[in-house]
Amino acid sequence: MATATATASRKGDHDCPELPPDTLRLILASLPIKSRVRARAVCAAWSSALPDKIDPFPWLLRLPPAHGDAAAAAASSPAVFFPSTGTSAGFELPFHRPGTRCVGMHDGWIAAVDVDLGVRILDPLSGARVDLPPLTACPGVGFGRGRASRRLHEQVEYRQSPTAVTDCFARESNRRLTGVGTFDVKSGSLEMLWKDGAGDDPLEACRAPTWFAPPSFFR
Amino acid sequence: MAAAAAEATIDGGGKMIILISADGKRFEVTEAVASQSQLISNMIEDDCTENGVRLPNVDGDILTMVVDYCNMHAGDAAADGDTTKASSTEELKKFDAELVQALENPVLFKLILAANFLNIKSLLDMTCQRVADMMSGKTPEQMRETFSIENDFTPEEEAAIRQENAWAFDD
Repeated sequence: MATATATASRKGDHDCPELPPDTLRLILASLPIKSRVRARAVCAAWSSALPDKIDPFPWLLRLPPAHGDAAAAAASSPAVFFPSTGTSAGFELPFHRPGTRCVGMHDGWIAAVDVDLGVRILDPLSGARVDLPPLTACPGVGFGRGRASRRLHEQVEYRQSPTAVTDCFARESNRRLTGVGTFDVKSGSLEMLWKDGAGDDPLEACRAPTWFAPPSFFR
Repeated sequence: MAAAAAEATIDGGGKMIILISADGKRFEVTEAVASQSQLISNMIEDDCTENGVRLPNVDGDILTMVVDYCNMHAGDAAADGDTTKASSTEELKKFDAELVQALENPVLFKLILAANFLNIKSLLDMTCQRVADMMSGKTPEQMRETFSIENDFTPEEEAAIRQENAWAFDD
């Protein structure tokens, strides 16, 4: 009894007692992955209690309608649904602006384009995001928010292809802009460029910083 | 005295059990109430609660809360059709919410430890959820502040952990 009391009061009454690793894991189990990763940076005890790798449950994506009025889009916020647990978790689209469209998904990443023709891909589980070079980086694209720009915005798609993981393209009546990216999960590198029409001349290339890679946490 | 109490019964018909906290406070509860704790339930099965159950790592003030909780929830655990004793679901929800909301964090943590030790799943789930809610959306610095946790990393260690998953710390 005396030893138990001594242990409990070792840190004084105003400090939280240490929680056993099992209990800590139980607490964190219901939190989004981002919070779990952050909790590892709180103190040494928490860091060693929490796993540095987590396999996410299988999940489904629920997105707001791509083409619909703003009210309908706002009413259904995007969420990740875990069928095995019956739970879902909301997440934020990578652009906090009306008019942002989800344009596709591949390998757990979803792509969104905003009204200024910025393109981002996002891992909804971790919240990790990657800025792709904006469409306005292509010569001749970037005429503000005119009708042509709006039409382009509506036409951006994001597809998977066997070799290039990222393949966005936008069509105009007389132009086809294709963005080709390679996304190396292992090394964490992303290379992305836009091409105009069938020409081979790249319009812009960009190599993303390594932390853009899918967090080591999941894979 | 304890033996006499252990033999006593109340109108519900259960045997009484004495729980003794770390600081020597005694709590008399029915078997139905006490057996919400899996630990005590096992002890009852093994017939070793005659002289009271000593809980050397649960303080009296924490055990008071645990006993209050178990008394409130005895109805839903027993589900023996005695509806006069069972608290309504609404009442229980209100009681649970008020119990965890009002607690200072160190007390909340001690309650978690007690629920863990006594193996009372519903209380453990509820208190853990409360802590999880408080951690949600916080930075590591804010988590430390909320729960008065000392940062015992060296700067290098902390930098290394942040580096592993830099995406999680970008705001």
